[in-house]
Amino acid sequence: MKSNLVFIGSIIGWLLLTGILSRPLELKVWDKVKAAQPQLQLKNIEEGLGQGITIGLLGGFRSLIADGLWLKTNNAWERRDLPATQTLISMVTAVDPRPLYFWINGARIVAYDMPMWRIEAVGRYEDVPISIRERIMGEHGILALEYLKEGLLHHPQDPILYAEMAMIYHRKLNNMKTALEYYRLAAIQPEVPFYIGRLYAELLRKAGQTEKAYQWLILLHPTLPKGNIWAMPDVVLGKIRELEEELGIETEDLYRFE
Amino acid sequence: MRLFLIAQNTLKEAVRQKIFHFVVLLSIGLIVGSLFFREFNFGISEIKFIVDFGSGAITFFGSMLAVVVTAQLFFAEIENRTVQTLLSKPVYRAEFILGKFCGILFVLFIFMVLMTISLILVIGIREAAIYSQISEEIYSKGWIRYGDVVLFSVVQWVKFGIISALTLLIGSFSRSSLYTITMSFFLVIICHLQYLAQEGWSVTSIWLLQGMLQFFSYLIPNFQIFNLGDWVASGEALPYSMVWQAGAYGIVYWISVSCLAIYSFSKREI
Repeated sequence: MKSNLVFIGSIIGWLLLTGILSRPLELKVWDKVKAAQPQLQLKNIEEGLGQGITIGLLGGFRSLIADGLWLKTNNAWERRDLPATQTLISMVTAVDPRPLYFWINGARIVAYDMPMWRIEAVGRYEDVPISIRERIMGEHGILALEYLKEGLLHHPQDPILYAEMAMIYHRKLNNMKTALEYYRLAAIQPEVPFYIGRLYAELLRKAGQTEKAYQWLILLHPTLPKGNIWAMPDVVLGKIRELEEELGIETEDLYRFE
Repeated sequence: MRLFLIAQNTLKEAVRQKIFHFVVLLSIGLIVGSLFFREFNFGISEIKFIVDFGSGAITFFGSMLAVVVTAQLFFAEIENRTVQTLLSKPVYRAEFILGKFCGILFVLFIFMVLMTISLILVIGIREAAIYSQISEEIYSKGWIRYGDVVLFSVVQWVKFGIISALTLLIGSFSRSSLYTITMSFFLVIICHLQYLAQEGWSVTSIWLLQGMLQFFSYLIPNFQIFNLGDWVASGEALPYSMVWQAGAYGIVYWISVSCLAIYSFSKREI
């Protein structure tokens, strides 16, 4: 009995000593691995357990498993099975949160398709009172936003996620003020697609903030590369001129560029 | 010399085992199969998917092989009583354990080399097919760094070495190979969750729990630090400092756990 305790104690002691001595080396690598993989950043124990096992044991197999689950999600979506679709959408991104495709399309299903299923389950779209329609759309809009916020933890600087959130605020929650804030956040992220800057200006204009839209476009225009068909600097310039006319800007104050 | 002979014999025995052939063929089949599985790929680019899938196959089957082959080879000597013949000669128990460990490291090295070659070939074939359809400008940039694929595999090999050493440690005091395999698989899972213990103090305010979590975080190695597959798949350069630091960390555990296995085996009655 005593020799067993000595044996176990010496094994534990030796492993502890190894752990203590190797900790500085471990932390050097661990800090970098953790920074590169947001899913390993601990938010709560339950999620940490799931992510730790899927990443550690499955590694790259996560892609295939997530793809399989996505196929299953589409199957549930075709059947309009709301609980199954919602569970599978969360499961896909829990297994592999890296692809943006899952976050965007998952959020779109939650925000745009699911409310329609619920409304049509009550009766014909036109027959359902507007207040009920709006309540259902609002509920799903909020669910989709929560889902996208989780996506932002994994893709903190992704303009597409911000733009998607802006669209939900705009179209589903009729909250133009917050929608504009999210478009602004999308527009200032690195590697933002060119159309988001133009879209932000257009929505500012629609919201009656013409001066702000103008200021935004004259900041944006010099950053657009010439000869890039997606950047469309000429279209932006045309819009600037339109706004100058609308705002009644004096000839000497017109936007000039090299 | 005796250690080398035991290692050589272990290698010979291992490559004769059906499980080794099965795992190697299955892994190669899966890596090659990623060319077809890509049809099911939604979320990420095709080449990234292949690298992801290939690195997954190396990690998963390598870990499996490290546990099963180590346990089988170790217990084969005990169950067939060859260990008694061996140790009755002027062979130290330390030489026996180290010889086994080195032999298994060779086996895992062969597995790692075969998998890496298969993965690089599959990526190369697919990249060439894609490059032939796109412009020279994109072609010249390239996507996957083959050198990083090799470095990733070497780091995985170091991890397999720790798994093998841990399996030898469990085998050195347990009575059956089934128990050793089961416990080793659990240990592999727990080692992947060590980071939770290390960081757990930040999500709990109970000091007793904090202390226990810290204790466990020092007790077991952190396997998540070998998780460099995402870097390779992203096409970003794998920081060399990380590779050697992860490698050094692994080798510290090779030495430490092997010493423990020798100590434990020296106490065992055969």
